Amino acid sequence: MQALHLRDARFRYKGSTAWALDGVSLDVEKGEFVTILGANGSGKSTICLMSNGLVPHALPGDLEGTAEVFGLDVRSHPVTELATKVGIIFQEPESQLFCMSVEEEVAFGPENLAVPSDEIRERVEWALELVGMEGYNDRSPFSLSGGQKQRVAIAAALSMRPDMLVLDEPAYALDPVGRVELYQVLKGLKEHHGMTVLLAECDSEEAAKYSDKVALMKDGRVISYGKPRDVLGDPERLRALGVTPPQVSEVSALLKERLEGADFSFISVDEAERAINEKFTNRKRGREQ
Amino acid sequence: MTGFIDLYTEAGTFLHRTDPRVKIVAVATLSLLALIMSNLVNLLVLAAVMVVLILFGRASFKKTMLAFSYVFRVMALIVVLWPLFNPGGTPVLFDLWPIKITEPGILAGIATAVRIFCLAAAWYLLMFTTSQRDLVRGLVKMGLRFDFGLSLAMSLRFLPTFSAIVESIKEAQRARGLELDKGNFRKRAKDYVAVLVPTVITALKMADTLSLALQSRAYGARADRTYVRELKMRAGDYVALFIAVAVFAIPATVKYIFSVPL
Amino acid sequence: MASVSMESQTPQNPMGATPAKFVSPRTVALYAVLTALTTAVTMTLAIPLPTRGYFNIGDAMVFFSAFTFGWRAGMICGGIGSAAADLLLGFGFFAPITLVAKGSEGLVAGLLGPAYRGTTRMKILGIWAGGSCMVTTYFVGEWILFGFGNAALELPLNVGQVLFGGLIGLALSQAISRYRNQRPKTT
Repeated sequence: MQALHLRDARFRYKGSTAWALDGVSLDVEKGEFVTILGANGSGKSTICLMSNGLVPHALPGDLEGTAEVFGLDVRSHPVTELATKVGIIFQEPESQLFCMSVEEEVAFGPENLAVPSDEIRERVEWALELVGMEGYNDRSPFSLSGGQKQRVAIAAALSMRPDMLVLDEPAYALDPVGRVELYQVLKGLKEHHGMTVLLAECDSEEAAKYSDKVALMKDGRVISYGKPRDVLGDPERLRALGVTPPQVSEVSALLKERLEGADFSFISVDEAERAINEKFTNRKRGREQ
Repeated sequence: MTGFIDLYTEAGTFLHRTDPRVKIVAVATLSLLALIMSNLVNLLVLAAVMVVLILFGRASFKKTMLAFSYVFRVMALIVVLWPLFNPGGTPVLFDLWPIKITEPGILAGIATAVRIFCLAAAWYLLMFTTSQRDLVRGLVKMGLRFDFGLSLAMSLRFLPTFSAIVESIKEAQRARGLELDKGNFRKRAKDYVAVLVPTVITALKMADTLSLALQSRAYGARADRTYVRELKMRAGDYVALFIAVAVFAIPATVKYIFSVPL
Repeated sequence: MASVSMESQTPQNPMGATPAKFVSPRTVALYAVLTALTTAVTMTLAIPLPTRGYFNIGDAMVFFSAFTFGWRAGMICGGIGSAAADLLLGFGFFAPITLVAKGSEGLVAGLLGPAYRGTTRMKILGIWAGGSCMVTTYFVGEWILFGFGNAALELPLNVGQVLFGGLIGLALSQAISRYRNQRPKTT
C-alpha cells in the first residue's frame, strides 16, 4: 500500500473544459520525500489538493482513474477522514492560520476529532517542539514571520497525527532564512519520524537537496519521475518547463561546456565539491607524475 | 484613523483574571444601573467608582485617552445642546427668544453626559481587560453556537490582516497618483472604490483558502468536539458575579419597588 | 455552569461519530472575511469629524455584502462588523445600537437589492430603504441616549454617510460581480 497511488488519474474542475490532470500515474511510497516540480497550471496543486480529498469533495469536478491515499479511494472518503491521514499546508502563510493564538491553531484539528483535552495539550506541545515553535502558544498568528507561520501550519497538521504531509509551494512567500528553516523541519520529520512528505515546488533548489524522488509535470502529466540526479541534470530542460534549476547544476552545465574533459553532472553543493575535488586532484596528480 | 486598534492591554490584575462571562454580565448590569439613574450626584458616584475600576485595570494611558477622546466629545456636545432643546423648569437663567436656558436643563444635560461616561466606562472595563480570544470563548460558553463563534473569532483574527491590506493598497494607489483626501463627492467615492476593489478581491481569495484550510483540519468531523481550554468559574468569579448582579438588583428594587427616585 | 464532557472513547475515527451539523466551512470563512472587511474598512477608511469622532465608509461594505451575498450576509456581517468597530474604537456602549442600525440596513438592502435580477434601480432602492433603517435607528437611539440635540445634529451626517457609502457599495458590488463572472473556476 502506497501513501499516494495515482493510476491514469484525470481530473477536470467543474465549469472548466481543460483537464487539470490528464492521465497521471504516480506512486509515493511510505516514508519517502517526493517533490513535484512544474510551472503554474501544470497540475501539481491539483495533486496536492487531491491527496486529502479537497479535490473532488470541496472543489468538485470529473475524476477518472485511480486515486488512492493509503489505500482509501479519495472519492468515497470525506476530507474530514482523510485529514487524519494527510496533513496539507498551503502556499499562502497568512490565509491558512485562522485562530487567535498558536495554541488554538494547533489544537483545532484534534478538537474537531474530539480528542480529550489533556491529550490535545500534549499533542500541541509535541507538534510545536517538532517544528521549533515551542513557547509560542499564546502568540497571535498575525504577529509571526512568514516562516514561523508555515511552521505553525505544519504543527497544526501534525497534531492530527497524519502519516503524510503535503505542501503546496510552502516556501513561495518566504525569505531565504524561512525557506531553510522550513526544509530543515521537513527533513527532520522524514528522518526521525518516518513522515511521508509530498511537496509541490517550482524551484528545484531544495528538491535536489532533500528529495528521494522528483516528478516533473507539464500540462497535467508527469513527464519524468525518478531520483533527483536523474531528473534534474539538465538545467535547460527544467527552464523550458518553467522550473528554476538548482544553481549548482547550472555551474555543472557551464563547466561541462567550457572545461575540456569535465564531464560533470552534479545537482547539490556536496556533490559538486566532491566531483570537483576529485577531478582537480586527479589532474594535479597526473601532472606531477 | 489609521492602523488597527485593540483596546486590550495585557496585565495580571483581578479584572484580567475574572471570567469573561462575569465581565459581560457586569457590563450589562452596570449599563442598566446607569440607565435607571437620573440624579446627578448618584451618577457622579457611579462614575467615580468606574474610574477607580478602570485604574485597577492598568490600561495603557494612550489607549485610555484614545477611547475616551471620542466619548468626551460626545459628552461636551450633550452638555451644550441638551439645555437648548430642553428648556423646562425654573429658575430660568437666560431667555432671549428663541433661546431659553434653565438650571434644570443644564443639570439634566450634565447628568446625561455623566451617564454616557458611565456607559462607556462599563464597556472599557470589559475591552481593556479582556483579550478578544477570551471574549469569544466567553460568548461561546454563554450559548453562542460553536460555528458562529469560530466565524467571529476568525473575523477578529483577520482584522489586522485586512487593515494592513487596506493600508498597503491605499499606499500603492497613492503612488499611482490617487488622492483620497481631495476632490468632490463623486471623485472621492471613485477613489475609495479603487482602493476597495483590490482589497475585496484579495479578501475573497483568502476566504477560499480558509475554507479549504478549515476542511483540511477536520472542521465539522464530529458533533461532540472537545476544547483544549475550558473556561472555569472559580470562587472569586462567583463572588464577582454576585456583586455584579447585586449592584443593579438592589438599586432597581429601591427604585421600582420602594419608588425612591435615583 | 456545565462543562463540556470530553470522555469520548473513539477519538481517532471521525466516521465513528455523528458529523456535526455546523454551517459549511465556506460560509464560516466567507462570513468571517466579510465581517472583518466591514470592521477594517469602518476603522481605517474614516474621515475624522468633530461631533462623533469619525465619518466612515463602513456602509459601503454593508451594502456590498448585502448585494453580493444576500440579506443574511448583509445583516450578520454588516451588523456585527460595524458593531465590532464601535467596540474596538471605544464606542462600546453604542455597539448594540449599531448592531441594530447596520444589521437592519444590511437585511433590507439584501432583500431588495438582488430582487428582480439585481438591477441598478433595485440596488438604489435597497440603499434608500436600508439607509433609512440605519438613519432612523441611529436617530432614535441617539435621542434616547444623548438627547434630541445630538441626534438632530447627527442626522444629516448619517444621511450623508449612507449616501456616500451606498454609492461606493453599489460601484464595488458591480465591479466585484464582473470580476467573479470572469474568473476561471480552477485553482
